[in-house]
Amino acid sequence: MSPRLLFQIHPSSGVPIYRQLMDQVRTLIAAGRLSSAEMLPSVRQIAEDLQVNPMTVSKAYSLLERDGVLERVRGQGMRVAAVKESLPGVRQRQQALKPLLEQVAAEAFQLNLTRDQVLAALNPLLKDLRND
Amino acid sequence: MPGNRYVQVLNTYLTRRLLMLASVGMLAISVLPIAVWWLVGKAGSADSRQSMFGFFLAFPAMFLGAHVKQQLATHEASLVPGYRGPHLVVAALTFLVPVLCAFVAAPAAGGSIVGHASLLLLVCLMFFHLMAAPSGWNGVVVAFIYLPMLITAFRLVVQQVLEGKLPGLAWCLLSAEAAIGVLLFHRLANLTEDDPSYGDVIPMNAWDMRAAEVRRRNRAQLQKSPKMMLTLIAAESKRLDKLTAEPATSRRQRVALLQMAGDWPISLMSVFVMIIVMESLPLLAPRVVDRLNPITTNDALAMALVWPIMLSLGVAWALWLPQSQRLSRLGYESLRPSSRREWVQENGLAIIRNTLRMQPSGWWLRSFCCSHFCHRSRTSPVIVQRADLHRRRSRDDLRCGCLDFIVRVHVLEAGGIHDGCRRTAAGVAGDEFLLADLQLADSGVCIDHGWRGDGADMGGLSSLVSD
Amino acid sequence: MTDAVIQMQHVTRRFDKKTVLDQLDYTLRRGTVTGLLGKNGSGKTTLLKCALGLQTPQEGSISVFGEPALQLSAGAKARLAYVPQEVSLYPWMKVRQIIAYTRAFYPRWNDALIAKLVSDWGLGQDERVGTLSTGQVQKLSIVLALGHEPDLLVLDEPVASLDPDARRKFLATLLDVALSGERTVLFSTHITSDLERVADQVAVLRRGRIVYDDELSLLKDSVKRIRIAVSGTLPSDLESLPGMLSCDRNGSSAIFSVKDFTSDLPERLRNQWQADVQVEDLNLEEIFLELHHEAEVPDAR
Repeated sequence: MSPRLLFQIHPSSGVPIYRQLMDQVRTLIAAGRLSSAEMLPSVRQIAEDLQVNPMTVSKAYSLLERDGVLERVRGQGMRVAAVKESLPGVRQRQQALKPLLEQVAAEAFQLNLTRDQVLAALNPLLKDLRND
Repeated sequence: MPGNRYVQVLNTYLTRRLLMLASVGMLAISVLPIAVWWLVGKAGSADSRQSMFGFFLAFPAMFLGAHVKQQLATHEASLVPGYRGPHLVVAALTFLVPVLCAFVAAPAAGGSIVGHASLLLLVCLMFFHLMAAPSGWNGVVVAFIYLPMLITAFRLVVQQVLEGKLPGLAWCLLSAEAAIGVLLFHRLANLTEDDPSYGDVIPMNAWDMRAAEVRRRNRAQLQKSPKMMLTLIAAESKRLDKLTAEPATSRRQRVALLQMAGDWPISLMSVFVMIIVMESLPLLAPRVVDRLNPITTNDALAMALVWPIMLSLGVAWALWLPQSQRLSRLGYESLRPSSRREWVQENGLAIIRNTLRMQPSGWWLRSFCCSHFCHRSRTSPVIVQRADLHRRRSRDDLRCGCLDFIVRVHVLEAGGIHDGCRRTAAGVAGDEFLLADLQLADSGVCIDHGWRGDGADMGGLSSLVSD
Repeated sequence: MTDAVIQMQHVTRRFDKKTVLDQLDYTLRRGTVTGLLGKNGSGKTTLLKCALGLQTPQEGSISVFGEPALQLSAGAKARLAYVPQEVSLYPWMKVRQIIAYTRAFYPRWNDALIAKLVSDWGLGQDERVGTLSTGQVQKLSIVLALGHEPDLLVLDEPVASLDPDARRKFLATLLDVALSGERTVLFSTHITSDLERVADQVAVLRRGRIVYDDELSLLKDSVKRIRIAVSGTLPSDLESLPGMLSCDRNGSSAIFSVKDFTSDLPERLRNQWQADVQVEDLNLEEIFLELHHEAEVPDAR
């Protein structure tokens, strides 16, 4: 798949590009758009297509490999690491949501909203979600 | 009142220290001798007055022209409200300086103020124009400055204007200057980028050079260049294509390439062509006008000295120009793969080869100038200002080949021995002597070469001779 | 792990009385794309020129590829390229001629690459250099610098007068250079967004010294803005936090930025002052401004 369809990079955002890539790989896996054992685009391909420094891409890949999200296949590149269950773990999925939530928290702080006020605002938006 | 616009504009003059110094220095050089004469109460000779007259004012006028052009060929001139007015007014006011000079110089030299003012203003205006609105007429302007140096008739006119003997001409000149000045300032007041001379800002220091360079780039000047220039460039282009067909592996090839390095490598040639034209004009011109306006001994000697020096300066300038244009990119070019030693050597060789390329013709021209004028200085005739019929020669005095008449001659300048004319009496400027004292083999030559004076006298003598 | 391409030690460069580089130490590592950041007049151009031996510093030593910068051999020069900020090329030459002219001096030259770049960048082969716009001349000078495939490419404000399209193409070209092995790029800029894309290293020049020189991502990880709010009044020793860059306090809340951020800092602050702590990521432009914050105080030197 073309890296441009997979990833969206905002160089001017405060989040370093390697972290943007890492977050997006996690999100893609969590959303099931990248399935287990699927090959990821090569460092070169990403660097060329997204016009980012190749070192940045390989840094993201190495860190994801360290975290066990990806695994290196000799001579072929990176693929999504095999996971035991069909859906990724809760923690992993929570992790994928974290950057957005952090943003919500920061905005709420700026708007001088209390904890309860934020949760109250959030609750109606979550009505489609399954209950445990 | 530092906020005053006029004061601010004046400041742009006063803060150019080097130019101010040079201008004041030049002014002092031209005024100082006059002041000395005035103090001593004795005027210098007509010649010395004339030679320094106005000459030194030309330089400040040139500075002024370039300065004003730099101020007006800018976007500020069009966009800043009330910009042009003060700049032009201050520039126009500086033209009072030559007028003031006339008031000082004329009484000291015993001439007319109007005459002095008209000529001083003429020189200043011409050189101001040269820098502020360059055009094809520049050559004419320069030639005009040379004319009094070359043609005696012209010098006589200048002298008579200075002495106040031609008040009509002086007033005509003054009114023509006023008209030209108004036109010129009108043009400057409406200068936009559409004006073909907009980008011709003459750099006077490194800062100007940069501004001029940027402007030149923006103007796409090459497209507007005259056809002849493009043809010359095309020739140089062809040579470059041939040279770059293969990598420059040998030193010879690299030096040949470096020889072409310059904003206008062709300028080497075209400048040289220009010099030849400029040089040959005064060389050829006297030959044509000789019959009417002979070159005097002093003229010829001066030219024998001056023209070769001018030529050397021209050649030196033509060699220096591409190098100075390269200065800004020399660092960048020094990063090409060659050691520092090779770099210095190859560039040095390129300069030497360019120098040699120009020298043979330069030396040839110089020696031609020298020999031509030296020869003339030996053979130039007596210049006669006026001749009156003294008395008709008696039949007893008649000698073979001599004139029938004795004429009282007022000599303007002493001459050398003319071909076909054995001089027996050396005339000194201002002397009177009898033409009959000259042994003339061919009276026609004498009249053609030695006669000076107004038409009536000339006609008188001609009729005497043909009698 | 990587060796130095350019090494500058205790370099001092003065113009009259103005010290532009002040005992500067800097090492450019092989295989990196480094952006040199600094305010206008901070000495970026001087640093680059000194690094290549175009200017002689009053003190210090500089080596390029292990050779003294002031006496580079032909071999070393064949491996480097420099694109100055103000390019001046011979105006009477045509584009193809200035390329041929430059090519003649180099032992190897990639004709295919140059032909591709010239057509990609919309430069007419038969246009005269004198008729090109400033941006086109800049493009041309970048093209000229790539012909001999230099191992070290030094560019002074390369994108200053390029349009967005040309800038993208330039960045792509730079990435190509970066992707083709052990090649090193050093470029100065004050357009941070370009730097963020292509650079992996960033060096910040300030008051004649390199005040930061490391990975760009580390810089983003370590400079953060923190919003803090407490129920009472803020402790007075807030400003004495290590690595404090700027602080703006207002009663019970404050916004400050630190340059030595660690992930445990928010937790520590929460525990220390029972404060509400929010951490904000900063982009390079904001980081640049934060790093120069104290410059608002008149220069002590």
